Amino acid sequence: MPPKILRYLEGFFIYFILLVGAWIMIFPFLWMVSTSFKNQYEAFSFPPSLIPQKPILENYVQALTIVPFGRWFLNSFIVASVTTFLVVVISSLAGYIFARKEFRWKEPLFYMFLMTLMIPGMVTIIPNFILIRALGLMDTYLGLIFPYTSWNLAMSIYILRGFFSAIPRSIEDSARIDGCSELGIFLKIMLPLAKPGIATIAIFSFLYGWDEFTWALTATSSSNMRTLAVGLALFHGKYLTLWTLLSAGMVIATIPPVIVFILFQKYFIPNLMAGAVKG
Amino acid sequence: MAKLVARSVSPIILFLLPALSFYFVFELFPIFYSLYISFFEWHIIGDVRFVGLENYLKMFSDPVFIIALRNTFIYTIVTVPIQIILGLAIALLLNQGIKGKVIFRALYYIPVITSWTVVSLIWKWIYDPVYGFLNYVLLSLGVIKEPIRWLQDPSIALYAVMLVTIWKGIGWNMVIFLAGLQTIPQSLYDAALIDGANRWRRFRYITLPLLRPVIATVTVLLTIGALNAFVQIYILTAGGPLHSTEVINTYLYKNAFSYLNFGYASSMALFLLTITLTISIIQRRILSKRIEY
Amino acid sequence: MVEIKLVNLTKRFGNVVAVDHLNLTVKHGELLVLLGPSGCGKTTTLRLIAGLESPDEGEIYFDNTLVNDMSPKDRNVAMVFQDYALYPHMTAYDNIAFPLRNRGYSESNIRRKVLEVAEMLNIKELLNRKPRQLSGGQKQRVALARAIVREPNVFLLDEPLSNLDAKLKTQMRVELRKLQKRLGVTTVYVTHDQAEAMSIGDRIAVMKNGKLLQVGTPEEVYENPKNMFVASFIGSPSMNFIKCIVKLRNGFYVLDCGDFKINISYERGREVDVLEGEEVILGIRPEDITILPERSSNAISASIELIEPLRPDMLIHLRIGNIKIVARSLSTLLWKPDDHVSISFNLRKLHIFRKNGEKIM
Repeated sequence: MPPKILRYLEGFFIYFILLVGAWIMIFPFLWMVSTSFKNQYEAFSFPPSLIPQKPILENYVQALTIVPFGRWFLNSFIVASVTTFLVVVISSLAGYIFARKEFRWKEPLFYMFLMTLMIPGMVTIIPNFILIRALGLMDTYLGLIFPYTSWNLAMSIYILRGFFSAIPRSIEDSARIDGCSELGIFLKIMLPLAKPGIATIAIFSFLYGWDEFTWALTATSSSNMRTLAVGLALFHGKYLTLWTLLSAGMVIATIPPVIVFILFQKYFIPNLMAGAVKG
Repeated sequence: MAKLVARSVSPIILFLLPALSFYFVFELFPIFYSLYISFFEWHIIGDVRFVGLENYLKMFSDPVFIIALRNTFIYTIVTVPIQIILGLAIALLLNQGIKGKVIFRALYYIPVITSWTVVSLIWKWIYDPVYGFLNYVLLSLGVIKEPIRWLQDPSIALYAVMLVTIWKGIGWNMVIFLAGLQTIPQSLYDAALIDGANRWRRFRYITLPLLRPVIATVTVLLTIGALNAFVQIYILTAGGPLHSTEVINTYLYKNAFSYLNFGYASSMALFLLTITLTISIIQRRILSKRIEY
Repeated sequence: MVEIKLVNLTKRFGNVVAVDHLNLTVKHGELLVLLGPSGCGKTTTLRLIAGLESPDEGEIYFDNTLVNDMSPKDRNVAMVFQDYALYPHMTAYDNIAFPLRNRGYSESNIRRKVLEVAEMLNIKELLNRKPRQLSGGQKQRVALARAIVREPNVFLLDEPLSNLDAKLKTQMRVELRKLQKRLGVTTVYVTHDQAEAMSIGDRIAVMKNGKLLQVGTPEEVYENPKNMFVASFIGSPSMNFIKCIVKLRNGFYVLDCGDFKINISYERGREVDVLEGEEVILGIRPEDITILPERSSNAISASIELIEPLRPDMLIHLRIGNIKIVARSLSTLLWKPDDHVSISFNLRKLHIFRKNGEKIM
């Protein structure tokens, strides 16, 4: 077979496989969106179709009004945002120190942080439960925010340390010569230059707070304190067949992460990889 | 001089204090507390009794735990290699200089950025035996004659759950491998072409060895993730039916928050921790040993 | 040993024509240098010969066999890349053995051949090392060994010396030439360094913008450049160029260069296709300008701007009115800046070009 034809066939074959794979990847989401616009009758009809025959907005309306999705959305938003803020602030301070300052316990402390990346969450769930209960923070925002913040610190400090280290010392030194205070250097030079790193950990933390399930399940008990992740699962557990309403809720729940992904795409993929490959 | 020391010491402590305090309270302390609890029989209400290693011994005579252990093992052995192979395959295909590479990359990455909760719920609906899309497609194509009860049939449920995990993870692997592939200079492939290496030999003697560090890291990370899977199993099957999808984590959780047996649950958690750490260390050693250059 | 024939070879990348209807023959056992500035298409031509790229138009023949559709493996070419392209995870031994293993030779056979080649290139002690443990020169010899071990039809070398330091470069130049002569394999050598080309090539093909400007022996391209680009590219320091207008005086051509005139003693009508009043460019190499020991009123008058005492040569930067030229002299330092001297041009070594670069005579 003449090589040119072979090459075209090969290209076609590759495209075909990639397209099939991509379709498999996104189809479930299309299905979710589709279901969210169907009424109960249609959702359970046979044969099922991807495009709803009689689309309705009812599910979305109900999601936001009747069922406490709205409240859950708000909870997730507050928890995720505050967590992100705390993580950014705390790990910037710590990351800066690990990157730039020398002191006796630096190495061991840093490795201690790193080690916990390997420790699975379940190990700390039970003691944290006891602790949060003892602190009276069960079923509160702080009961979620504080642990979330803590659990994200290790990775964030690791990433930020990397970014801070990459800033040439000569810039700092010339700022010092120009009379800038230590705090000033941190705020006006290091932080702005580490912006990609900060964006990365902010994204991580926000998505973590938004998606986290296990701890939210454990630390909240009343319906109006649930986050979206838990709320959706429990709603399903209670109304096993209300897939239409649930789908609408899931679509709403997925919108903020998608927005974050689209807006911050350039920080997303390369940095997640960097964190993953090193960690 | 003293002033200089004071000025340079205190910012360090000041800056580190919030991180260290949060960390100690919610991460470090709980780990040791967990160890402590595991030596007790601790029901949340009522008695607390010191039992030493009894909880640990109990695990191995607990039939459900043994099943959970076996399932965890199967889950890890199956999902990790398959994700890596498929992720690598897609990365290799995408690396051929395809148009629209960026779009494909994003599409494959969508499952990765979606939460486990949403993913599990979607798949639960797709797996529905009567109204789910999967059975519909398979029945219409004639691949199966009767609807498969994906999550309800004990002999299939675990595989159904593993499929979801693999589906969600391929994109993550692919992105990492793509980056790795791009670090291999094209001139090496040119030289190999001239040296007469066919496609398979180029893959085996150039691509694969040079990707080894990346594959090693990915393997370790995926293994840790697989050993500690929880959310998708909890939502899809809650460990059922008949414990066919029970893994250590789900059983642990049940013991803690349904049966309220904190001591026993903690011992399981620590057991899992030990396994995870051991396996990661061993894997790191084996896979990194032959990273030559 | 094959003869390589390129017929109308053309390769485009998007809108850029990298190789433009190239016609070139590389003779049996010859070392042909493709010389030109970056981006002139020389590396692309090499890759086309190798089979790493396929041509948009034209044919490539190895000894009358059309190889356009043959894979690199089947063409039996060997290539040394600019960055050596050594497999970083394999030892030098395995690097050299790789092409033989791909062809299924037996291990004992491979061992014999690798050692033979390693002996030839003096790298026997390095065989167990990995590329990162080798110096630039050593890596290069391993890359050469890998190319030689296969006894290929053609050697393709892509700027093999550009990553070496100056001293090593001149050393390796000689060694490469000796090696090629010894093995007698048809070789195509790409470089942008004209000194390298002059020293190593049997013939030099000068390229610019994908086109072949001139091909010939080093003497030919040096003494008889066919256009201004070749004239300026070859030779260091490069040829001096002076703008002049052609005038006729008593049946002789005279070049009026503004601040001086040169009688070029061609009788009218003698093979030269040039009109009175036409603007041309006079080219003269630094070594063809002589600074006369005494001032003479018949000679051209110039002042010295700067002297570069390179030893054994001196480069003397001269000024004639507004014209600046460089002359080369072996004399001891008789002059100093701001001196006025008389100079003369070797009339037999004048190159005259039209404004568009073509050679007139």
